[in-house]
Amino acid sequence: MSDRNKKVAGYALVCVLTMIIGFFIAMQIKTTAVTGDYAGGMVSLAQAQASISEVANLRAEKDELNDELSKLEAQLKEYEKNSSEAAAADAEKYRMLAGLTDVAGKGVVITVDDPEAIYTQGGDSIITYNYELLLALVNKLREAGAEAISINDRRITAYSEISLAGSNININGSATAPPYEVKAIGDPQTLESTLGIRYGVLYSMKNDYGLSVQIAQKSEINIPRYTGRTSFKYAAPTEGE
Amino acid sequence: MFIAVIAGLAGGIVLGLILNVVYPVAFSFYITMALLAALDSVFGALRAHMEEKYDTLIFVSGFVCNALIAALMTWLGDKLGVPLYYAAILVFGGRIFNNTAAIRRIFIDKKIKKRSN
Repeated sequence: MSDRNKKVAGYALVCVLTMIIGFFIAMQIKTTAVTGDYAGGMVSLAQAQASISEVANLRAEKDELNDELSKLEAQLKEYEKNSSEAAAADAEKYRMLAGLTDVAGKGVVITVDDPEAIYTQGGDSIITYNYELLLALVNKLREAGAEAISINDRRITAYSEISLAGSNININGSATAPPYEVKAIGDPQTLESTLGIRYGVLYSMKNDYGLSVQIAQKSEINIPRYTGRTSFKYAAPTEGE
Repeated sequence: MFIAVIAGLAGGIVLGLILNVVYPVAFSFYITMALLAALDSVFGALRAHMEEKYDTLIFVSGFVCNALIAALMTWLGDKLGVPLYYAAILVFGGRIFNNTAAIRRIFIDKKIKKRSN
């Protein structure tokens, strides 16, 4: 009889302990369901931490490389100065042409943003999915004689792309989102009147797409340099003509 | 025995879903490992029961100790930067398979014996 009692007590204990397991399983399911929306499913703590440290490492690496780049360029400048005045001036000019120097000067700043309703009521970004408008804008700025152009501080060079990548616009291989601040250095008067022409690109942005567009003339605009690298793999200079 | 286990699990899950308790996500991984260890203990107990070797003290101590060690090992691994939880996953996961296989065999043996009798 006492043996039987012991057995029953053992079963009861098993029942209680498995109940604890079940309880925790349910809690686990609830917890991952709460966080699952954000993480897109169960992401283990270890994985998340690995990703976090990877991002931190890559950031540090990028900063380091940027430092190194500016150091090396300073060195290069030093060498050029030592070699000859004329060569140094030449190199500076080509660097400016290639967009490899920070430049400052007067010009215009154009801010293009989605209509208010996109932010308050949701929906896809109009300007992002009609990124050709930005291309047209850059084209017009060049027509008006802009000497340096940047969009959200991404310098537009001869090799810059403006293209849709996912739900962002990629410029110089880096993603950016509205509002798009287009800076252009050149004669402010010419730039603004070229852009402001009736049925021109800004007119179309405002009236056909309902975008919010602001244009301002500035006496001092700073445009950052292009920080990427351009190397030629396929093109080679040809001799004579 | 089986009824006790199934009733316990079902009751626990229902209770957990009803009570709506959510713990910090930071603990989630440790608790998963402890759960795995505890589940292994339950399967071990079922097997021992089938083999008629079941002992409550062994079951309870295994249940608590394994769960604690699994969670502790995961925590230590996190601190050391070594994925020590693999050890728990391999050992307890492997043992769950072993135990369920043993349970299945004993079941089949008993059934076939019954039929032939």
